[in-house]
Amino acid sequence: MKHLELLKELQSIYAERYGLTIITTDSSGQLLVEKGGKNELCKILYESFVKQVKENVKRNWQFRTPVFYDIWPGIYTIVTPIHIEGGHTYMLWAGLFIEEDTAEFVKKQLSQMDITQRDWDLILANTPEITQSNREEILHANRKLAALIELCLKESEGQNLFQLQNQLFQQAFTTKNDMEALFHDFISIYQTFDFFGLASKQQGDTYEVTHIVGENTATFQGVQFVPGEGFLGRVIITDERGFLDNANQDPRTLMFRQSLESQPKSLFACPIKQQNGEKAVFFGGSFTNSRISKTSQELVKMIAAIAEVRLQMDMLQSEQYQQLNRLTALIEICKLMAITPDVKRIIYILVDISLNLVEGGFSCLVLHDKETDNMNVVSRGNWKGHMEEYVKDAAKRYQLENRKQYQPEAATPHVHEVSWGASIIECPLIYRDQLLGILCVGTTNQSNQVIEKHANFLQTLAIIGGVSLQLASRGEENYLDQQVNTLFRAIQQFDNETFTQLEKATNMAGEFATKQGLAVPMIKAIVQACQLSYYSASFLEETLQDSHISMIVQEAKILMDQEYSIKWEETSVPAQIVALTLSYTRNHSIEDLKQKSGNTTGLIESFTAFINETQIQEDQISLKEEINIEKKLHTVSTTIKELNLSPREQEVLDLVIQGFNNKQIAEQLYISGHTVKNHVTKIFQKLNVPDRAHAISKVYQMRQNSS
Amino acid sequence: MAQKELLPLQMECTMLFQSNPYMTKTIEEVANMLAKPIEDVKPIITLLQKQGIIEDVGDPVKPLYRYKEPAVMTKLSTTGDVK
Repeated sequence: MKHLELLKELQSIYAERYGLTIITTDSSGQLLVEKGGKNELCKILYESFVKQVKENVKRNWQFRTPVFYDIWPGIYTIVTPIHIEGGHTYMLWAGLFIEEDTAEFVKKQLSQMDITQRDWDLILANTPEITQSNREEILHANRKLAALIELCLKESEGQNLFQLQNQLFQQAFTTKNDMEALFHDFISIYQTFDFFGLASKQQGDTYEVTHIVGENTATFQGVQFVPGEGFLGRVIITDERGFLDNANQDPRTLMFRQSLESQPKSLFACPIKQQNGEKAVFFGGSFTNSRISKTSQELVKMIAAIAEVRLQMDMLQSEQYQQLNRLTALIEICKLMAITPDVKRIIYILVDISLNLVEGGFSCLVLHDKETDNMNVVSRGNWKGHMEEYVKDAAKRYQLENRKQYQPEAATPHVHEVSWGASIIECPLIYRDQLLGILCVGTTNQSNQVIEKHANFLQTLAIIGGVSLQLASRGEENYLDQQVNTLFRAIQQFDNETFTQLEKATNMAGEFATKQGLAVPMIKAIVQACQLSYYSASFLEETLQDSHISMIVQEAKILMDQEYSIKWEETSVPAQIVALTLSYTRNHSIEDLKQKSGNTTGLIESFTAFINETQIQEDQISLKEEINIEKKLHTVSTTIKELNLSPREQEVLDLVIQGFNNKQIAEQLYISGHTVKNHVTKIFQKLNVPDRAHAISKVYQMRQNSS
Repeated sequence: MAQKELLPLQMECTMLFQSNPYMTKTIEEVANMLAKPIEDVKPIITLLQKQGIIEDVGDPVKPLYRYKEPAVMTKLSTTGDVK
């Protein structure tokens, strides 16, 4: 409060010296301290004087130096505005004066006023006069007094800095306004600056003014600059705050001069960091103050920090909103993929949605065809002629053809830089430990942070895609299996003999193909082609769309047809196997095919060896089986049945005797290990034995006794 | 930013065309089907066309949009060429 005492003292001294009454008010007309001085006229008119001051203080006083103001006709006061940094304005009122040789006129004026009659002559004689000679002196004295009061009040403002900071902080963090509203708040609280703005990075290296708040500054919105250009661009390079006094005389403020009506007299710019690591520039300035004081610099630092936090908060909120959007979209896609039974549709979803999301211009899904060992690629966008080269490279890198076993944790996305200037996010599609394919999505000119976000989303998409693809393809396979099975069983209804023959051929083809070490899908195709060889290839093509069966059947039939002279090596291995097994089961000979092949193929030799071997084995097996079955019937099975065990316990005991452990028994009987354990315990109790060895021994003893 | 906020609608629009590959519709019809304002759907249609997911099969007076199937390459061997 010392500054106010000082202010009061100053008022009194000056008032005494010049015979005036002096008051200092704030911008609402409130007196800061008690009046000083004992001006007689003012003493009489004081209440009216204060009332007049309160009314007049609301005027927009633009001047900065003392002026005479006739508060009543012929009765003057000197008004001096005191502009304190930080936006506060105070007014110094010093009076009352009359002009030289106007006492009579003022006397008339006073007598007309609603006040008690006085000895106006005496009072006016004691009232200071404004004359040509003393005018300048009086104004000068007021100027000096105003300067002293300004110093006092500055001191006071300094003490209020903490309060002001608090106010700014509260405004910044308690309101939910956007950045521009926040700038408005700053301007209204701290009136030293007339505008605040924000410039952030756009495409390439260009920065653009994205926010600007302040009277007559809208034209500055959208102004662009590059790092190093002008006052704002310099801050980007130096990464240091800049304060510019007398900015209207500085060549670095050209962009302000070109875009704004009024020229800023002082400017500041602060680099701030955004959430994505990019820099932004927070700036502001004043059209009236040509100097930024230390106090203002401190406040600018604080406001910049608030703006930085606010910007990061806004970005986090926006990011959160985006994530929510992505999650919503992902849920919808998952739902769609879960109900889509079509493999093709799922592939299209993966390719299209990944392009939707990343907007990098190109995407593809590379899938390994287990049957042909080739790659199938579904692609979108402009690969600039590099797709084939890239797909081959990716397939090699991921060892797609080797059917490498993948651990689920290996299914993480990887960003691959290609020589033709693009980054491609690669997400393996894995089902259990099998690599089904790779989802490859191109990115262009995107920051690592953005790519990482995309990669996470794509990984989720690839995981769901992998499972959906596997389930859908199984569904399709099952549907095909059902169709094949129905067609095969139909043969039995109208031609049982052929059905039996085809059944035999099918078993033989399956065994032979397995022995040849062919891939499982190929063996399956051979077996199904054998089963359906009764039908014409064209009928099968119509009925079983997207299947290789019709092609195998057609080739096999051509091979077996005497009239066609197709070369053996021109046909596929599955067709050759089907032809061999069908010929053998029909004619018990493959001589025709031997001739057609020109006896040059190892497959026919292998098949001949297979037939010979199978026949011997069949004989051996039949003999063995007879002996075993007979022995079993007379021994273990009968003995077990004689025991007081439930049918399930009998089954379990049979397997125990065969040497199966609990886990193997569980697998055999499709029951849990825990259930097996229960059965075994009960068996032990019923047989009154402590363990397996005793149980087995007891069964054999009983068998011995009964035989 | 605005585009990212429209991502769910963008995906919804993609799925609409993908589910109906033979459908040809105007922007107004698409907006109607998605129950969204035309001004929201318009930039999305432009974007999808740019991405090659849909194509304009109409005329300048009445643009009609249809799903464009992605390119499919089969039997690409890692050792040889496309068969």
